[in-house]
Amino acid sequence: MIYNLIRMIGDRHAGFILCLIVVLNLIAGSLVMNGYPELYPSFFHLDLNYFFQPVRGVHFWLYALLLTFTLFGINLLACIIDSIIRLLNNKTGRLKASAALLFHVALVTTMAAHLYEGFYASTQRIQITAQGVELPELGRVQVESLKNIYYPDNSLKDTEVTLLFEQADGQRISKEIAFNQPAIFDGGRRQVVMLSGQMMPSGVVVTRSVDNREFRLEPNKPQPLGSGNLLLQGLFETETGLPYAQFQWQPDGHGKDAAPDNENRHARLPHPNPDGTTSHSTKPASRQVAGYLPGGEGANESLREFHVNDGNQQQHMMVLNTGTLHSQIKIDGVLYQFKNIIETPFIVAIVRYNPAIPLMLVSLLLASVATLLLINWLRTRSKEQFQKSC
Amino acid sequence: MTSHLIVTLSIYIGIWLLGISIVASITAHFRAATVTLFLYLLSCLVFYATRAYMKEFFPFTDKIESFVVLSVLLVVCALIYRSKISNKEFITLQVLSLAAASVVFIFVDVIRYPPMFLHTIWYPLHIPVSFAAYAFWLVAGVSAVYAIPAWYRNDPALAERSVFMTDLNRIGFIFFTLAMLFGGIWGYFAWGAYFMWDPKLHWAVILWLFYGNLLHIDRLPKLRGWKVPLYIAGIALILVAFIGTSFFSQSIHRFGP
Repeated sequence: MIYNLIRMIGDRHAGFILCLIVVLNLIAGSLVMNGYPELYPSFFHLDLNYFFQPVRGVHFWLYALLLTFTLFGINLLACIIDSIIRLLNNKTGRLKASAALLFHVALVTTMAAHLYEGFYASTQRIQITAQGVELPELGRVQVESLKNIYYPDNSLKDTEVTLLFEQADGQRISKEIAFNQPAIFDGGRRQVVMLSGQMMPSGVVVTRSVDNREFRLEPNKPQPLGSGNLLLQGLFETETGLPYAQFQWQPDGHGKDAAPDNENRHARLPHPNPDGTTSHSTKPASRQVAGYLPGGEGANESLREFHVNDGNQQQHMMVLNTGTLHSQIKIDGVLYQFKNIIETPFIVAIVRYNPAIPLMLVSLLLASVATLLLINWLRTRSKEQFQKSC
Repeated sequence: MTSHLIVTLSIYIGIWLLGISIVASITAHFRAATVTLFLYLLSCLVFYATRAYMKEFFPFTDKIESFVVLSVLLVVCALIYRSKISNKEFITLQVLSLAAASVVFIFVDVIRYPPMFLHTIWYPLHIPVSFAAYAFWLVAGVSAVYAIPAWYRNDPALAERSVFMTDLNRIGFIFFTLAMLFGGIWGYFAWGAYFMWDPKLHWAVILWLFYGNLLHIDRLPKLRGWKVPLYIAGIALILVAFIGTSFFSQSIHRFGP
């Protein structure tokens, strides 16, 4: 009675038709996804919740797919039980039957893993900088070092990054990552995968001409100089690609009041975009420092006006190119010469949590064994056929 | 410059050899055709070896290399199964191979270093087995096309061809399963996911399920009659999976300019 029920549910004709319907559903899905790129982003991890928040008519193929996959899965399970019974009863042809059985079990396991992943996995796309960001479960992570490796034609070959994880219990873990080499935690369930990594300008070093003393200027950090404060407002680029820094000089009595306000209004540095490029990045794949903001406040395109006097506050612009005209500014009667740019590393990464990884590993193992068994069966059969023909 | 010249010459000579082989087959000089096909494979070996040297990497990373590898694998299949396929099928496979290799006349061949995501062992493992699967399935499809008259007449001669189609499908299925396994592992390391909602991956699943399902058809008496039409439909699916998703989709697997 039960066996008959199993055979009925696991009917192979029904299974074949169901599988064809699944294929048709997938074809429909691929056409819909291609037709609505605004609804289906190009880098779209398996997230089934997305299709239910909200439920949309355009996702019909996915709902139909879930239904047909469920029916197909039930049919497959019944078929697997039937095959196990047959395999135990039959004494011959076990190699091929075992391979087929393992393939079917692997398929059901994969379907279950996808379902589990689809509803419970999470993907977060973030930028990790040298200053660090907080990640759920992984603690604070920061880029410790970054090295881009290039081909002879200057195209990017690889990026080697060291990430420092500081977990809630105070434990510090250092992980080397690169393209195709993510940081893996929790038995593979959690990953930090790098999508791109670059150096980003974050400040400038200037030299005072009278004593050759160096000053590191970073945004939001007014630097006391002589009778006032020098504030780096941002690093910019003219339309012709000339990089320059914009400063605000605040004589004593003005700087204290002006600085907080300026920090809010003016402190501008390039920030990476979610796709890994930086604002106004002109040559992201070249060896040059990536990313400057387009023309800053108070500067015109040709940078002819290098000194703007605005009451007690003065704005200065410095071309970021050693030895060129306008690569120095005069503050309080003293010359300050550009020395070099301070760079900070950042990466764009995917932080992924997928609880279905162990299930997927089981599926991978089963499919691998099934493939090996099938190859072995083909080899044995070919040998037999060859002997017969001889 | 010299390397570029070798690449260009080797593939142009190869295409000429393929053309000569087709003419030899049409004029029933099959021995000459077979010899010429081996020479074609030799010229492709030079083509790939030079590109590998120039790229300092496995040379299946752009559209020209992809099409040529399909061409090579079709020729390999035609030679392996020469005794089992008809002369017409043999010629058809050579014509398909020539069509695939002829993309060198369509696309500008810019030999670049491969992008950073391809620098992994999983990539060279994934690509050749994918194309091997395409080739074996295409041979099965071509065989199905030539089985149409027998299928229409319900001729008993169809049985032998049917077994041949299943055998080809089984080998293609093994290759494609390996491609899926290697591709999945690569995806996990490169993008944090073994599967994404991407047209190429979508179509990989479609092909795997479709051909895996077809392996069962011989044991389904009520559906066995669909075998030939389904194998022919498989050709269209392969073309979409390979060409459609690589050129006309929003896939991240799309070929670059």
